[in-house]
Amino acid sequence: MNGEYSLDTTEGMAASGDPPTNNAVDDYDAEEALERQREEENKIKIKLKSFEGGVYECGLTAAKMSVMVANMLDALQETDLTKIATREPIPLQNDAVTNKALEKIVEWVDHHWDDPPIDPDFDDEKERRNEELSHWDKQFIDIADQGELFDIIAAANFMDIKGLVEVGAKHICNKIKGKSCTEVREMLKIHNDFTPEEEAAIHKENEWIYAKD
Amino acid sequence: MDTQEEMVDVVVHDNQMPQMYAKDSLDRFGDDMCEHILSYLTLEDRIRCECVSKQWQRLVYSNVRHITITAHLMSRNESDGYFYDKKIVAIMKKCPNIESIDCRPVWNCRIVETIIELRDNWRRLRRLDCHFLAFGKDIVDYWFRAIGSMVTELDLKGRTDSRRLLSLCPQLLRLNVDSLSHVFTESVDKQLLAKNLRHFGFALRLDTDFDVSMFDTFVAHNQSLRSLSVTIIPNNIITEFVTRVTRLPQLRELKLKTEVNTEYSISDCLREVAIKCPKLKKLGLEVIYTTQTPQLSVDVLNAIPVMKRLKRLDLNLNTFRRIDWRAFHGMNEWPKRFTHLSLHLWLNEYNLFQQIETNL
Repeated sequence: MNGEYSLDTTEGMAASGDPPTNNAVDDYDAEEALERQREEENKIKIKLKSFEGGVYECGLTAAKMSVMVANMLDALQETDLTKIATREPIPLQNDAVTNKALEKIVEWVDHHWDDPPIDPDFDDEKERRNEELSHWDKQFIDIADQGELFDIIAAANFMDIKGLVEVGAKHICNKIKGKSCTEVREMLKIHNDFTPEEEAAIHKENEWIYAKD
Repeated sequence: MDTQEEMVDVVVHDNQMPQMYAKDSLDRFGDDMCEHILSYLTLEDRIRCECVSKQWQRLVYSNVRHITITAHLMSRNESDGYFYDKKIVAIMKKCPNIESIDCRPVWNCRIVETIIELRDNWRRLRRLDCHFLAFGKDIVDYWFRAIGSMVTELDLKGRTDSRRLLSLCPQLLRLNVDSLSHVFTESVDKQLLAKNLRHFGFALRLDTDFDVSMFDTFVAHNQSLRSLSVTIIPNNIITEFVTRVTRLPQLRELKLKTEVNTEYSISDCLREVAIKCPKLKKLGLEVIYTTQTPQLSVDVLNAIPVMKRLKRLDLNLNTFRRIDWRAFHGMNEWPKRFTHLSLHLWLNEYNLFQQIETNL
């Protein structure tokens, strides 16, 4: 039931210097071959290093869901992909990439690496935005510790994993649904920088939205 | 701000001094990230959240791409039982990047008129969904003259004037009509009014003036069709019909509502579709049972493994009869991209689910 929010993985592939692939591949056999290649490549494990120093292993195709990692691998100009596995871990230099966050991110890309690419001719962006998170993603992102949740979203954004950022954003918006300003502020620990007068003015303008059912 | 001093992020915020934000505070995110997160809010939640903080006030409307005007929203917009849309429109004017507005949940023609009048406010607006079935002929005529050249999707079910409206909409990509004859002129030479569509839905009934050559003409001029939805009541033409569907190589979605009886199996037809339309991703089958049909014919689903790219199957079985669950025997051979199976059943089919579970 997953795969509805996949980022366009062919984009990542193209960016990392693999054989040119685009969405217009018509031939099913060519698609199959590409898929097999992705499957093979995912058996190669690479190491990612968190900001805190923790090292986590991840399939190559899965790791390339991060556009940033894909670009870094591309910069290595390594033709023999198996050699990538023996390289030093790839350091992720952003303080949001904690051990916990990277562990979760690796779990997410390992689950989603073979999501089908988006078909721009058929998949509607608006529909995709409105579509609910899959059961797996819901359970994955339902994290009690809000600091950890925000780390994951910030780290996914830093690593440029669009699909995961989307999961995080949708999760937060689901939590905001139906809540009042005060409740939202409290939940997301947002500092209210309005003066009471300013707040009252906006409130008055939007009064109609608060009317009881 | 939270006081968990041991866990802090340093964020350079605009051109101010670096500020310290608690890790579990959404304030740690800069404008870009925050705007992206908030882009999944509904319009109603956005309005409610405008006064959360100055950052939110700045961002909550800037990234609005798609708006749905719900009945719930309209009912809040009501004063003494009288609808006025000024407030919604005022909010919408704050959203410069709207790409699509969906008014379908409300049957209010005033708000649609207002949006059309003010459309220059939204430079990216390229989609407006609304009902017009309830509107009078004069209003409809006026609208289609004004914006017909921009209309790309049209649902003309239940309208008798579809031919006239079609001729005013040269850019159509998606169309639903009651009958195939409605997309042809009534003159003797029967000119086709809908060409180069992407999505098309219609019904075939024996009592209408259907003749197979009409569908031939349609297929010839709509080679890039992505989705087709069709109701076929007399199933003796189904083989003839589906053979023509296979001439649409770009087809991604096929919805078929038909009778099933032992005489005309649709399994072979579907197999042909599977081979000739390799891009098929969604298949919908709604089966109307005739008295002769004993149960879901076991071979109806035989074609599924051949549909290599199939992701979704909607099966609607309008019957109180037991379904032969052996139809799901071959599930382990279904396409590996398959993610969604939707079943509309009238009876609790415990055996069926057991069968599905063991085969998944």
